Amino acid sequence: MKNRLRVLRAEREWSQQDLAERLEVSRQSVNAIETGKYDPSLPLAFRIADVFGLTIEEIFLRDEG
Amino acid sequence: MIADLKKKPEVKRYLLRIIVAMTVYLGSLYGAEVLIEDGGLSGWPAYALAALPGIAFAAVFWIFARLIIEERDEFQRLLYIRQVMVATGITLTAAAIWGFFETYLPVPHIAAFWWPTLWFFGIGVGAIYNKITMGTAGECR
Repeated sequence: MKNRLRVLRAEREWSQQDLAERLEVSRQSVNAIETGKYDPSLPLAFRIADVFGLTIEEIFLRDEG
Repeated sequence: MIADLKKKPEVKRYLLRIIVAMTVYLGSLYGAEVLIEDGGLSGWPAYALAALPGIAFAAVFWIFARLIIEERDEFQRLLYIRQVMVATGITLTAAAIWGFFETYLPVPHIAAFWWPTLWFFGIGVGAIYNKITMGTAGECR
């Protein structure tokens, strides 16, 4: 699943560590989600959406086909 | 970064539990060597003492299970579970292959307590596997 985490983070000038602290997860978790190696659970996806003040659909994109 | 991670209460509890289990393991192993091997202890006390190092080994599996349960970071939980799967796969495969070797071929016997030892080695292999495939070895190596 693709996501806009890196772009959204850059817009706010947050490092991966900054975002990790806001989400109360490890920096490795943020990196794994950003790089598409790990898809977060629905509760974590909602936390990510809350942190950015967006909806889940505005952050995570469907895989085409 | 590593120092930060080790401050996590669940990781601190894991490390403390491992230290206690390994202390019991080494102490009971030494006790068994001195009292059974050298001292000739027999009967049920000998069985109880001989079982202690194995029970300390078993405690490590419980400790790892507690780490998975107590970990609040879902990605780290995934890494732990992948490590356990790699370690269990390596250990059971090696035990099965060696078991058939011993049945059909002139190979030396391997004492069963080496299999859980191999499992711990497999946890390390699992961390390397995580590093290669997920970009991080996780917090438990």
